[in-house]
Amino acid sequence: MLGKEVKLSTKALKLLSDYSESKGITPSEALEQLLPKPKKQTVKSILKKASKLSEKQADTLLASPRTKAMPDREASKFARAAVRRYRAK
Amino acid sequence: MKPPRVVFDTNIYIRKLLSPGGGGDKLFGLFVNRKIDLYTSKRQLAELVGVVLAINEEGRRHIDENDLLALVTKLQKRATFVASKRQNKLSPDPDDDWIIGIAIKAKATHLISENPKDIRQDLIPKTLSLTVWKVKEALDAWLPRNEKNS
Repeated sequence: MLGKEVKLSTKALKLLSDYSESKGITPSEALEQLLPKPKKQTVKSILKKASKLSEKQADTLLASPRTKAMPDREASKFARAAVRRYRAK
Repeated sequence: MKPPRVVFDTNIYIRKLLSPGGGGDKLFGLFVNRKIDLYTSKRQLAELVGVVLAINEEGRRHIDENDLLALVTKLQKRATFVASKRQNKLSPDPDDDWIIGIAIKAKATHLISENPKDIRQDLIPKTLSLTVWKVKEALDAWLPRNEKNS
């Protein structure tokens, strides 16, 4: 359900089991309720996150291989349309 | 010889993110390798991130968050920031005037855009010595011959 593997200690498992029983939900649902939700990204949060990276870290990220590229011609059209839509808002 | 003073329209950055290894990526590589001096503004940086956040699911599948962070970091650390004042009537679309404003404020030699309808050479006053190019024209002029077909 969470889409990722979570390792828990025996004590945490027992607590999770007790919690799910008391709420009448499955342990997986209980875990989903208890884990912190990822914060919604905003322009400000991304700019702040980027400002904390060093140029060297940025170089490393830029050099790492990418596998999900859009064909360049399609990317050009897509980018143009996305910017136009954004500016028209 | 001094590197060209360049402004990218925001669509070039988005193209770079969508298509690593493509034209936008190669152009950005020229900035990373200090072959061109890039000028931008706080407003453009916010627009770039805003466009990515607003992009639909199809586009988001192709954009890597780390790429976005690296791109923004590079711009924050290495590009020159200028104020982006709106330049009235330099584009048929008033929404595009401020991009031309960055180029004017930066005394840029080149403005690279894939939006020939709204960012037009014939509307830029000749006294500004500002050349509007598409990505292909810029790569033909600036990319070393051995990297053009890679």
